[in-house]
Amino acid sequence: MPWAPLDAAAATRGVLTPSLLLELQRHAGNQRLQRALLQRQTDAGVPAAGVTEPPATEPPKPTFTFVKQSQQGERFDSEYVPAGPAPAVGELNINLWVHIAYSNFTRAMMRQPDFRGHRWTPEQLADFQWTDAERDAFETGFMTSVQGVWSGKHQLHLNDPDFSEYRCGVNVNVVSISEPGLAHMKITAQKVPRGAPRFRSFVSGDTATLDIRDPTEPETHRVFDRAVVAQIGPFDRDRAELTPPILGQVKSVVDEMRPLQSPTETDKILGKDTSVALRGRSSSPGSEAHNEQLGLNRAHAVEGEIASELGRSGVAADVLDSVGEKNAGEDPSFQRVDVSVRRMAPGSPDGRVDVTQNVAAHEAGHMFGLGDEYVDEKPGPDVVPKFFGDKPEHYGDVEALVGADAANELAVQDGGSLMSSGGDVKRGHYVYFVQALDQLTGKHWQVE
Amino acid sequence: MTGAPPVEQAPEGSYLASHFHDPHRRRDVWRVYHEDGRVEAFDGEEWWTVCTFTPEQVASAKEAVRRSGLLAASDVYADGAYDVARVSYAWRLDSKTGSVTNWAYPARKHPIFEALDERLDALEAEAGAGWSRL
Repeated sequence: MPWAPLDAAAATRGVLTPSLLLELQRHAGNQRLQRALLQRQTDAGVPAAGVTEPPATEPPKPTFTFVKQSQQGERFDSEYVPAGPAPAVGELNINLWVHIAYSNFTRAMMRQPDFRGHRWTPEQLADFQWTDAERDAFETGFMTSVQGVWSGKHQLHLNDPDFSEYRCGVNVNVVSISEPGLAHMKITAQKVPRGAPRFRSFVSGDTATLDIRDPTEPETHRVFDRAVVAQIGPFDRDRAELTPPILGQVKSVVDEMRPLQSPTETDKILGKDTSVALRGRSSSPGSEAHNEQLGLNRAHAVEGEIASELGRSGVAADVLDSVGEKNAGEDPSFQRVDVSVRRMAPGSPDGRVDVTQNVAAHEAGHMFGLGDEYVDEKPGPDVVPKFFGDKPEHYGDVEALVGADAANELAVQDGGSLMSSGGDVKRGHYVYFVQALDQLTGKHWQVE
Repeated sequence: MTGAPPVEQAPEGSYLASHFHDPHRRRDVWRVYHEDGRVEAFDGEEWWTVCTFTPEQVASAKEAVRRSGLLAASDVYADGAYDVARVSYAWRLDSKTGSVTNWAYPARKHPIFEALDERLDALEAEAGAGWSRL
């Protein structure tokens, strides 16, 4: 008998004839048949009034059949324990294995640049050695701070039309081990006398050196809370005219600004709770004075267009300046205007807010594979500079795996992001966790 | 001294200056060796006088700079390290100016900086720098 495609949906709609049951069992198997019968029984008790045929029901979608999947990675190990389908929530466990070695402070370190300007006290000179209590506090603090800052910030979501819907939480675990060869990251914990400047912690490859206070004493920075961060350019060389491509970019930025505009505070481009800041730039050819003026002209041109687009022609931006060719090269990308909208913090004299950062958690971000997101215009000849509004080095991965919106949240600035100056774990910061989960499940997940 | 000297230049009237810049913490530390013997430091918040060299000690410090190899040294690069700071030494010596930068501090050390710092610190201790008496 020739095989004919089965209408499994029809079977669940209450038309299960004996011949159809036989066909379903033969071609789709007992499990599918049972699901169809179960679905039919469920539907049978709730006929829709005035409808002769109930609405179609999707056939059951495949589910994960394993109990657990795990894999080792260069930067961390990962393990997925499914629960579901949704609304149940499974678990992705990210396991970072670290080896911690403890380094005492020395008299020679007093000559190092970060300590050289410091005026030492007798108490500090007597405080060069790690104590057992300090070691315990460092290790416990590192584990709890990394776990606390990184775990559970976003849920992962599998929404594949051909597969059952799943959700998954993220747990980040730090495991301290005595064998450095087995560790993902070899950490040197640097003792620094209490009250002395902090050591400049860093991550390089699979090694890191952290200050004694990094896990337990957050650093505070004052930053602007920015609602909009954008670069508009490149302008034509030595010109400040708004060409059609530039006008298109201005319109996009205006679209972001419009929801922030107060309808009543018409003496400001947006309103008193926000500050529109424009900074003009130029590439390096030409004199410094000329390029500073050129940057200013560009900023004024963008200012006029933004004000006009927002129905506030003639109203000035709250902040407008030019840095000309400062730290710029010949690349046309410097022929631009940096645009930001700052949310002004109530009661703050300059509108900035205090953000805190757990430095151990920031450095853990590097251990997971992320780059920095703070501004560093002059990092040295072999490193890509990070100007305001630039794309950080993980941007491409985030854009590909998490999406453009999540990637754009990570634009370079001195702000509240954990990989900048603050403590916010953004959606895009889970990019390498998503990558691991994709590998573990063979499915592409989203970050919510 | 008030304000911050440029990164790559020793200020007028000085023969050597070092500058530590931490871009993550936005922290700057300077140390300036003046021709008149004053050694001044900026600790991130204020300037203070470390000590004052005698003319002989100024001559010794200059000689230490010449002998250190600093004037012919090369920059050290960051090489993929995250959160590193940079340390620059700039000189104004024998009618020449110049600077050398370690872009990877403390992930990488500049051997010439280390040796020069040791020699200058010995001179500062000799000149009665406050930190050396502790």
